[in-house]
Amino acid sequence: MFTRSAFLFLLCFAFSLSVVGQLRLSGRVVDEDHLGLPLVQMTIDSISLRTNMEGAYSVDVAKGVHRIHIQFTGYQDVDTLVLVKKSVEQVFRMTPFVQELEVANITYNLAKEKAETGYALTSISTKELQAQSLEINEVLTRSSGLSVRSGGGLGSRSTISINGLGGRAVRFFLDGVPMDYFGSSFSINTIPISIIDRVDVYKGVIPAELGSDALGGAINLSTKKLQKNQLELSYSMGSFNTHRLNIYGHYRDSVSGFTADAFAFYNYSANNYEVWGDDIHVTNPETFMIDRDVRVKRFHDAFRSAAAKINLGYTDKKWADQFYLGFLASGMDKEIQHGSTMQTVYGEAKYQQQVFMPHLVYKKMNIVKNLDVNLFASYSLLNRQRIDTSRNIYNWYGDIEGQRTLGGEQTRTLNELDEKASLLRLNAIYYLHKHHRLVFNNVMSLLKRDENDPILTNKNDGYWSPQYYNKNILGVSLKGEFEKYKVDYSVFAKSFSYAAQVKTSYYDQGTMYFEPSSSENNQFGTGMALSYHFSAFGSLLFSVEKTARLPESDEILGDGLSTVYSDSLRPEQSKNINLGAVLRFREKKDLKITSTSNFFYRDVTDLIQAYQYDNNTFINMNFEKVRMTGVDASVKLKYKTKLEYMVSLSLLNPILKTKTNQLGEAKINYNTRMPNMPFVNHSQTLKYTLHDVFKKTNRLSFYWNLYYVGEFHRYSEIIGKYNKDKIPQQLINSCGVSYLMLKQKLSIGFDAKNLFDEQAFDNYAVQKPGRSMFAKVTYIFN
Amino acid sequence: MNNKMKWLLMLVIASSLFSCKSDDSEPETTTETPDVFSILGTLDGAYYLAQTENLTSGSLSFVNNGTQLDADQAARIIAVDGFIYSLNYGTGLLTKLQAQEDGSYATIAEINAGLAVGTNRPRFKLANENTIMVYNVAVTPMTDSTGEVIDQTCTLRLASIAIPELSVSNLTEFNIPQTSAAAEGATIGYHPMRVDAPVITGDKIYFGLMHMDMFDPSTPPPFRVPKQSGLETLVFDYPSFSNGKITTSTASAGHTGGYRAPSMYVDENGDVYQSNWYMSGSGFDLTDGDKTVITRLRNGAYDNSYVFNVSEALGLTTNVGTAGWFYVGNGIGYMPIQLEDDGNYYSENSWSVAKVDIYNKTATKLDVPMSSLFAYENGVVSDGKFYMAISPIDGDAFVYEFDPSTETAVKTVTLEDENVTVEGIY
Repeated sequence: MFTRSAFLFLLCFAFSLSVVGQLRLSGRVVDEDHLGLPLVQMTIDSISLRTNMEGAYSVDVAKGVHRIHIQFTGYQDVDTLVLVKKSVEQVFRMTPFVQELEVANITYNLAKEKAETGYALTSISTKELQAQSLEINEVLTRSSGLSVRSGGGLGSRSTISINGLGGRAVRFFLDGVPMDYFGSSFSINTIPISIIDRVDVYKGVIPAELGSDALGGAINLSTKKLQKNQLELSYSMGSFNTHRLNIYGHYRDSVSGFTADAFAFYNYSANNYEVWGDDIHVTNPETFMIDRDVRVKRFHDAFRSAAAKINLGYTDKKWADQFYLGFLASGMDKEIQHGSTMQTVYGEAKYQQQVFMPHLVYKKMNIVKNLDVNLFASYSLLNRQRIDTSRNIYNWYGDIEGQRTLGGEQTRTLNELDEKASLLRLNAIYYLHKHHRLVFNNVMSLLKRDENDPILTNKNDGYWSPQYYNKNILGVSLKGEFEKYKVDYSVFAKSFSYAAQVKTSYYDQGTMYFEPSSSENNQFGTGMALSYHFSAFGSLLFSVEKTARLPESDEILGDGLSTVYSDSLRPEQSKNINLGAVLRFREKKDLKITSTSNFFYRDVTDLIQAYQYDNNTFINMNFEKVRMTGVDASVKLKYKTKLEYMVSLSLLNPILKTKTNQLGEAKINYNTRMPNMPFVNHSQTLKYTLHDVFKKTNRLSFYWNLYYVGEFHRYSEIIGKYNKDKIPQQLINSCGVSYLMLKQKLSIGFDAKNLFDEQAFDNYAVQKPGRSMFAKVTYIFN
Repeated sequence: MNNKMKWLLMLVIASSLFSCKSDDSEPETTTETPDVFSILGTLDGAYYLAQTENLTSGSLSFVNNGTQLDADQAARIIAVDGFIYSLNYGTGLLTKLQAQEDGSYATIAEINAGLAVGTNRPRFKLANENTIMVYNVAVTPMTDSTGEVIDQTCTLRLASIAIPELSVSNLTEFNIPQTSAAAEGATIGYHPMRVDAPVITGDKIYFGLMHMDMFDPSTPPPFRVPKQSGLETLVFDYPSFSNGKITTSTASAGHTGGYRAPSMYVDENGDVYQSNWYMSGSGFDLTDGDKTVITRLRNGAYDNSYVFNVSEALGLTTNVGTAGWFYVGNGIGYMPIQLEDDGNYYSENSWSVAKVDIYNKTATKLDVPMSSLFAYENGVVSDGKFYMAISPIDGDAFVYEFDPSTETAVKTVTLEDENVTVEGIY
């Protein structure tokens, strides 16, 4: 596979070098908010071309005057003359059409649907949030259908569910590249919002160009594309000794095309927020009696992460739109404050992780006529250590109240994991016709895993490394539009496969034997997405997919501690359906209302679950069946550029459809709701902006956000009556203010989160931060 | 509390109270008696305690019934004198509960029993009618100058908890000595890794021992799993907890601490009767010579004049294993038995129940459906009859009534929720 891709790459490279001797006109086509418009038809003299997904275009022209005509549905045509004396960047801004209709003034504003063709997609632009001290997780929480559950403060592990399917069912991407081997130090929990432009959340049905075996959905983070030579600095600090520093710089030499694009971030938080309630108890050292309901500060929960990514190369050259050699280095360490609930307190256990990842990026539109290619290759070295050997027993005051007879607060370990992973993504788009294109996407990853634990004497199969896990995801898609019928479509097929080399153990006549074994599986998935723009009011969206989620390396290979290998796992399977509508109203130019709703259906079988088959030993098995149905809805109202109000609601009905358990027994909770899953999420955000405050172009904005999650059970909702574990309903209020000045080069923001100091929980009895305050300053050097 | 129900006691206590004949089971005791039985069920990691007024008929379901117990990993129960002592295995907290009229349980008091013995996951057992023992064994590898493991230090920490007041005393730390049999069993392995099932009789306290089935990690695979020989029990002087030593027997081999069902009981004469555990699935080398036995301990040592070969007495063609048993008095006990030809011990219907008579050394396999009883914990004696739950995998589950004077087994209470595992009746 590697050789074939490399060959293709070299072939294309050679071909593109043969085109020489002309000036280059490039740039972007944007809407009134300066967001790039994708797939816009452009005619330059007699040359016909289109913008890419980010609205960028590039064309070779002769010196002189050129006539440029730009057309895009819902926008007024642009017809203009451009004088080209040297290679130049030119941005074209398009104005939306306003059509007079009986009821209201309505505009077509279909850019997004055009690009995304009927997928249940939530796109969150982070542009307006940059001045605030927000994390990506917090932003995701506010959008409908997403549920983020974190194990505490900054840097704690979090799980994101999309329409009820979370954990491994949701995959993450950075600019279309799977983040599987980026490590937890460079993940959605640590990446600052300042380097992200937009977050796209695909629910259930995922386009082929995100090469992924995700059942529940995919989240793609688009990094900022700085167009000018810029350096952006931001620093945020606040409660719990939290500091976040980000630097983002872009430099391009307009003569040579040499480009440097780099960012770095540093996060720290002591996470020493207060926790209280029934689960916080201390023991009287004389009587061993328990004193509950004390209020304490967390004392061993600090988190630190840092990352730097630098890309060096050439952009907007004839032979490449982008060619980068890059390097990513990141690391983190995290203290562990408690076990699965706050009842067991730790004072020394921690883990740390480092990743080094060299990589290569190559992008070229029209590498041959009508063919765009996008290549990403990386090699990552990940090292993770768990350190847990202490004999000290801590209480919630941070005092040592006793000694363990055996070291280890959670599990006695010095486990060290080494992962070496190669990843190759090739994405190609071939334009068959003005309105139809073929997309090819392949992601291949090769993983080698070694584990070691110097203090573990009774080693199990996971330790007889190295073990291997290789995976390939191929997707092919046909996309386009039937203008006459106002229909956009996308049909796709995906092939998922993995092959693992496992060390298995068996026991015979008093002797334990280890044998290599292999495990592999192929799956085929297919799906489609349609959007029908039934009127100027809006569109109907429909998408369906039959997909699979391959077993992950640790599910097959075991974790080297309590989970043993499982070489017969099958992929999880799902049938996903979305039916949605987008409706738009526009009253004159002042009031815009957009309503988005989506009904979803997920039928999941063969869910992989850890099953305890012997004392303290787990094995992963294909087991549970669930059916999820529900609805996400949101309404966004915008009055002039002053007032914005958004309300969203998600209702989920996750039903267990497994009739019998692993032993073949009838399950009493068949046809009941899944435990430990929120059913109702609700969010409202109000934002008000004052323009030209104190000085022209200076802006002052206020926001208020309210987030509600309904009560849910930790275990079966039907079993037991008294003293059942419940995650209580919560209503969290947060607000903030930001001030933009110096032509928006400088911004200052203040945020107050969980204003009324509510006890907030995502997981049973694991309290999240109470009231906290943050300040952030951002400055852009041009 | 009214007294319409008969007395309920943990079997260990029952055994010490049954000094009269089985047909005269009305104890002359002044202890407060609960009016309900409690049934412990578990499903998907959660533990529930539900009440039933009688064990002779009717049905029980946990659907919208029962109280969830605090259980970080698991909940373990001891019932004495109308109180339930629930150990949260995972936090180490021991909570004293009392059944309420509405079916719930009120928390009366709680202590951090785990802290007393240095772990969040202590083990505990009722050692006599007013003492719960809590204990924990830590195994620390000893290495030589090259870092190679040459031996293990096995440190026992224990504490007594007086009930019903929940006061902690006798905090003791003790290095369990390795006998030559254990040391020779492997280059380093086979050290004691757990003690359990303590009983107090006279001036001694006895702990059963579990040894590690350890593969020798100093050699590359395949590892050797050494075969254990002999039985070992840890004995202390009581109540001083001094003079700790290992007493040994060659009557059979294996663990002596039981698993969840206790292995040791004190009979009406003050003698200790102990079952062994050598099931092959736990790593033992099962050969023809291995057997399930009941042995007797007196005056701090094995009484070599008494061995009850349960395997032989049953007269079955398959190997017979057990993880513990239930003594009901007058020499009669009920022992969950694993029949090796019928499947593995942990997830298959390979278990039956045998009635054992320790005085006459007879054993009879009872007419009950095959089920999985490896993790079964407790039954109760009521009106002279013994009650325990039998829930075959993929089969109908019932409480069974065993009459010690006959060999009958009668279905009584229907347990309705097929996949809720009933771990014990209290």
